[in-house]
Amino acid sequence: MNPQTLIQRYLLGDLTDAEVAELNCLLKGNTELRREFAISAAVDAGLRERSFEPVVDPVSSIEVTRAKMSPRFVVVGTSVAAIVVVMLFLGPAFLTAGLFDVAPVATLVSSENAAWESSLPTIPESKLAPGLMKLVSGIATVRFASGAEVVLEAPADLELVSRMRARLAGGAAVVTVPESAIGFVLEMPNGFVADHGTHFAVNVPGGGKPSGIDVIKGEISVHQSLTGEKVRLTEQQSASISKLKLTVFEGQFADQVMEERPRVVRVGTGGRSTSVIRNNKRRRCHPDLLMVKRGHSEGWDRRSIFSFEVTGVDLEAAKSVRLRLNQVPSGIGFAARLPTINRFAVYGLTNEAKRDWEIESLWEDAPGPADGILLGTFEIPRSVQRGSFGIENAKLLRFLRTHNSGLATLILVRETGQIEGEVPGLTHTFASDSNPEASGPILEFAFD
Amino acid sequence: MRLFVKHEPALRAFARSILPDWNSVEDALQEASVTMWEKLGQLKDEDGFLPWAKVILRFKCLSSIATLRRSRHVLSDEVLELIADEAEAIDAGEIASVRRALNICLSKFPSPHQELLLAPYVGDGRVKQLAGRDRKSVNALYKLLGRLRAKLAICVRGQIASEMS
Repeated sequence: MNPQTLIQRYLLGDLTDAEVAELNCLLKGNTELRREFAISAAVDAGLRERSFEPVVDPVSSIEVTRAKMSPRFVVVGTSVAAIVVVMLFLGPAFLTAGLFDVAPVATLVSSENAAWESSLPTIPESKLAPGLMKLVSGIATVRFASGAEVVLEAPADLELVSRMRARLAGGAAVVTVPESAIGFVLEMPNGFVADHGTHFAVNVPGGGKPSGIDVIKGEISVHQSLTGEKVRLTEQQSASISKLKLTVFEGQFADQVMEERPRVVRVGTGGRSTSVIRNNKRRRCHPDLLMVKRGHSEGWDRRSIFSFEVTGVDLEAAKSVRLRLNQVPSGIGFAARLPTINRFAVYGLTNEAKRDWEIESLWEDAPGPADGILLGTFEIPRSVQRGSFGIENAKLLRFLRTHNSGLATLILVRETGQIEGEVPGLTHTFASDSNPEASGPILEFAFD
Repeated sequence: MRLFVKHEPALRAFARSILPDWNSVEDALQEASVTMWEKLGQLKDEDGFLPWAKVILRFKCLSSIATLRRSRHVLSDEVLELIADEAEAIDAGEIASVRRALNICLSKFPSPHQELLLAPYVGDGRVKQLAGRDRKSVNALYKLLGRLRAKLAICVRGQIASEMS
């Protein structure tokens, strides 16, 4: 067997004892072969990653286009292939021009401390095809092929539609439109802005709240989808688009909408939080992280427990309460080995015998779901490893009012496991109070 | 953790050069990530992360070899140390070159061979399934796999060389 084949079969775990000894001997005296071994290990790692990627659709007409795409575009190409198959079933009328148009419509100009969740390339100077860009943190500038430039501020969701059109589903953006891009359209919930050569700023808070538009320089027209209303705005004017109406203001939008916010009281855990692991190897539980996992190999299952001192809160007067957990990337295991959507459950501790749980608790001693009542669930897509999650419902408030002698303990578990295979699925991690990156669990009480 | 995620492909490839299977690679990465988190204060700047992380990971990998040796044939400690020296010198840029080259080279193989090259990672028994489908013995398919991987490695090396020239 030649040395290269020996290396490959060693990496496959397919060599006899004698063959391993032979390879050992060859590697010992040959620096070049050792380098080949190291490169082969990197190729092995690359092959393994490729095996986790979505299966390439065998539609032959797509193959030609795909061959010219970068790997990230393959995902887009595969989606397009899937759409084509569906459209073919629906009939030829659906085969509209432009369906295959995955030519770049914009360029990512700069990325300042930006973190992305995007199917599109996120390296500055990358060419961007139509698709979604989710900016998790930082600031990024996207220049459309028409010349229009959008500076995005996180968190923001921008969909690139064409060289003359984009859709801002959430977040803030400042848009500059040169002469070459007059007529550039930025859509947002409940309306859109058409630009007549200018500089304008948009803030889309989402959650049903009105979007605000400020003209910095020049002129724009703002359209409301439901009523069909349309206004032209010039410098020093602003507008808001809500579900039902379009309102114009003199001056900046931010000055107009000093909305009345409910009074909020926030309570943290004061460091009283921990994670437990089924095999009780506690060194695998980091104090800065609240770790949750349910996998095939039960020994690595983890759950988290945390308590809130709520004696200082007027629970009867509270109108609502929200448990906020900040997810941070774990780097442990593969998200690709999880179902697309992962469900988490929050339980409230009712078993008095477990009330005095300890930070260094063993799995069997720490409070678990059987020691409490289910208060609510939330879901996180496997593609997301950062963000704020939690529950907000009457059951949580009722639990705090009734099962509370000053200290309320909650238990967090992941209900969904991992998909088939031996490769470990991702361990989800949330910040604890000592996490340097994000704040630990918080209860947010709202009062009138 | 951001740095860990950024350099994870390079770290995973590095650990693979020392450890004989993917389960032990994942275990070593898990343990190393916890140690990195604990010792993050030692890191002077972000540029130094990868070499620093490799030192920690190297220790974790080599210390787990003794246990693995009981259940399978593994290269000697001396040779693994020498391989780790080579792998430590491969930077993130080279790993990226390997990935680019791999994508190009893999596309040159016919579909059934691509399928076989990816089969060992897909899950239990995928190679066996393919053997059943193609009416070949599993052993014969592993031999073919070894040859295909050797061919792929030669292509990758050539591709990297042409990228550098």
